[in-house]
Amino acid sequence: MGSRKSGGELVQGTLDMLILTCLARRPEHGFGIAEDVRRRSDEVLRIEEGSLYPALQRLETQGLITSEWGLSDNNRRARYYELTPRGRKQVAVEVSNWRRLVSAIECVIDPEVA
Amino acid sequence: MSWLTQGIIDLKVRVRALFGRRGMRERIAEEMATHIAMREATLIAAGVSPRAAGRQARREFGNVAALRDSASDMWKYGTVERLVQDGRYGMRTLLRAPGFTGTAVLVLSLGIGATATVFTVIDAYLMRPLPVADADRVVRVYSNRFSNTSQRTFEVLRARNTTLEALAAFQMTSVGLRLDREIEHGFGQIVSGNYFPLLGIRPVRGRLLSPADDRPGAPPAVVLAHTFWQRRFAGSETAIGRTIAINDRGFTIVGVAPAGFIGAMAPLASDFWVPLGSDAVLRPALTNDQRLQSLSVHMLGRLKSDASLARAQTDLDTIGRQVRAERGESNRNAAVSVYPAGMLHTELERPLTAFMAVLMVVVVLALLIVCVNVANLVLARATSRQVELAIRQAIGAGRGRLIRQLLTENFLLALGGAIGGLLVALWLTRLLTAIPMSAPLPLAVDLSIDLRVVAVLLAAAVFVTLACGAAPALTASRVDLVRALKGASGGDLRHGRTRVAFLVVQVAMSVLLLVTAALFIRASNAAQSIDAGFDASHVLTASFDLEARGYTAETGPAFLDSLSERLNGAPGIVSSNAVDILPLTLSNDASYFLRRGEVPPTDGRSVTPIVYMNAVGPGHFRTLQIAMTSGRDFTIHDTARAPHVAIVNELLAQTFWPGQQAVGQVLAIADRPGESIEIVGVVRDSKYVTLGEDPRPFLYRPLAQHHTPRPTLLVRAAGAPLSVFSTLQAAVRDLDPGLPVYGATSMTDATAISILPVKIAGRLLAALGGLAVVLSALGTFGVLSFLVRSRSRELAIRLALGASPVALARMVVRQALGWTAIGASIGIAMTLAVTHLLASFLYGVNPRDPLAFAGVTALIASVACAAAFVPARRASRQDSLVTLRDA
Repeated sequence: MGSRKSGGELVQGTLDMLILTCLARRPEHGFGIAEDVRRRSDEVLRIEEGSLYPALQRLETQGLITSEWGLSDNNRRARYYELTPRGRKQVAVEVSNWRRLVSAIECVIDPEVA
Repeated sequence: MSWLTQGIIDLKVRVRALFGRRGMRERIAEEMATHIAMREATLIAAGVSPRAAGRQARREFGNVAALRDSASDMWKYGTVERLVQDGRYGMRTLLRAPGFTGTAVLVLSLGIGATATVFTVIDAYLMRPLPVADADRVVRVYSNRFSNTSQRTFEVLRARNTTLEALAAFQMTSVGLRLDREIEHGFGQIVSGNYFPLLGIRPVRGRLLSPADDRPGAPPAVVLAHTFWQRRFAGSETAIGRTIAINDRGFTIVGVAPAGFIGAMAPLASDFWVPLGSDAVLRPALTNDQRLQSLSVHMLGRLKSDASLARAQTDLDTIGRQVRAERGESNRNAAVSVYPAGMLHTELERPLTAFMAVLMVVVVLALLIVCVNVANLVLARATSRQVELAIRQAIGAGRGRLIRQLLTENFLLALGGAIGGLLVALWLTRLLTAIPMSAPLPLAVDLSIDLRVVAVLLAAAVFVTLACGAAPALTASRVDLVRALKGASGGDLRHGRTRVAFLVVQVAMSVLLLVTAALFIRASNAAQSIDAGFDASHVLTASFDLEARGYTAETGPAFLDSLSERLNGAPGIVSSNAVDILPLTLSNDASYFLRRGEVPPTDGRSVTPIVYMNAVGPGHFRTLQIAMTSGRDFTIHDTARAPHVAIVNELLAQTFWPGQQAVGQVLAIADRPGESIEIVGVVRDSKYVTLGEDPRPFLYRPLAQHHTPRPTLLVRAAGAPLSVFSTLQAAVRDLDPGLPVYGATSMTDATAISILPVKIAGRLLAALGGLAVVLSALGTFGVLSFLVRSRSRELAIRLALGASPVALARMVVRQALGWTAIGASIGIAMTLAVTHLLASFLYGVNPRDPLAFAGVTALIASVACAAAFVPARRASRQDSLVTLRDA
């Protein structure tokens, strides 16, 4: 019953942030989130389905997102996820944390070397 | 706020998930199917063929079932679910082994039930506070260490103290009550006016007594106890305002005390409360001085909010010493003692605490034995479940999970035991309350099972779970997968050693319990065969309260004389007389005496030993059939005005006047050297206070010269003692129809109280010891079967090599006896260390009584042999070929 590894190249916190920022734009279903991240990152980032659904359930139990059934563009029944007010606040926090981290890392990496 | 909302959301979704798990799994499965379908559609749109697109989409997604599980795992309270799962699984496993489960639950019920019962008794007597407001601020105040206080001293303490909010006085009083025509005897309390205000309790009807009721000339008021109100008035409202005759004086019922309040003299229960001031109404025959002198009181105080117990102690003791000094007394010891108020008189509380502690230790020991046994059974089962455990481990259960599973099973067993224990405790406490108390006093003990007892039961269950479960769970979960699955069952010597250690401990404890039980049983037999020195059979006893009817030191003896005269002529009655103290009821009275010419030493003692005494009417030695060796019995002419006389026992005669005639000698009580008492007779020694006592110097005085307000009548009947009760009642009614007779019983029953504790202890220990023996037999059997099974290969080889089956059987039995011997030696050592502490309860039985020790050892040894029989036979009868091939 040990905890399962999150899988993929993404660390868990990053995955949560990607899902949350994606949902910050509009409510989306699981496949849409995966596609959105893939497209926006120019096919660099790929969310594995094996991590996506557990992550969605986890975020929902944390009260950051809610979900309900809806219809997709081509009339398929799909589960749409949406940020809660708490989730919206969390996005801001996570994004600003991430930016701080990235700029800090940038400062460490010598631009000459790059 | 946010943590709260979060908590609520969390709880909501999780609870929904817990109960709607199927729905949750379906939802996730559907989402995943949608995901795959969308992917497939995208691939087809990108030009992949439909079949290949479906395959690719599914391949990319991975194992749907596993993902669905891990996604829905996010939703559950894992612990709770696993617990429920473990519980269900455990229940099934236990039900599959009904023999094991039944035995374990049964013995656990007995062990836990006994513990809960003893706790209930301790709780009732020692742990419950007085049922009053802020009981922790209430204190008991005594003169000296545990003595009553004169009313004068009480008034001084009340007036001068600075640490108490209030100081109240109370005393038991015995009266004749008349409601309609019938007169009955009752016990009540006479209390100072501030008694109820101090306790801060509320009446259920009417009002309680107040200081106004205590003023001289106030109309006599009485508050009824709840039980008395229920019994005599069926709880009717109309009782309030009615008049009840107490000692033939009318008292108005002003209120009813709350249920459960029996006064501050528990376990003595009060029927009613009257104000201290009404003593003048109750005992009109006495002068004010006589009343104040004859009614000493108990005291209760309530500490001021800024006062501690220690400060109150210093404060009151200082006042007590001042009083002493004012009276010209000199005594270095404490004048006043203050204790926190429990239910009981503080002096009773201490020996009772000790007794209860011993009892508690005994039952906890018994519970431990039970645990050890159940642990042994669990271990035996774990051994045979090794394959199952190995399989569970092989398919991924962690060791923690296995331990949890085994502990859950044990907890279920313990819970069953706790429920059974509750039933046992309910039954035992009912049995205890039903024990007839032969004391002529109203005892009320509330032995109801309350929440605290239930809490103790649950604590016991948890304790049992850990005690029985931990060791087996740890050992059993250390499974050697490969060996266990290959079928090499057992053989693990670690198991063997734990179990042998259990067995040894248990044999030791059985020996301890059984030897102690044997000693107590021998003691109670010895007590029954002790010659009391008088013949109690055919003797009826009954008591009167002469004072309550207004008899005085002059009129009381005259009444008793005419009663005896009337009875002695009645058919079926051999002889009768009144006494101050009924022998062998633990009551006693004693003084130092001076011989002629002896001066009292300064410390108030004397060179001769203390003398116990009793006051008896003429005919006492005939009634109890105590032989007179010289001199004469008392007669009706030994009145208060006649010269003071006494009869002594042989031991006193020899001690005080060695080698001389005692008759004709003169004694004086050490405090009153002026009053000489002439010895007129000598009687054989007998037992006076308890059956176990050593012979003691004893002195009898005529009842007429040493008046008692509450005498007991002894009537020797020709036939059964109770057969003459109606004759006695008729005689009393003829002489004084208003005098109630109470506490009528045979003298054998009345005196049984002196050996009651030993009898009860003996039976209780015997029952526990019996249980322990059965358990250790079970244990021996279990361990041996296990060892024989795990050594089957070795035994088979021995057989194959030519060992005789008998030799093998003997080897098994020898092993059992070896362990038993170790256990028994430890047990005997423990017992020897303990039993000498019990010597005073043993009525002369040697605490190292060889018969008890040898008997118990023999019993334990034969039980071990019997328990070894089946495993030994199995060892000697096995088919070596089959064993060796299978192994």
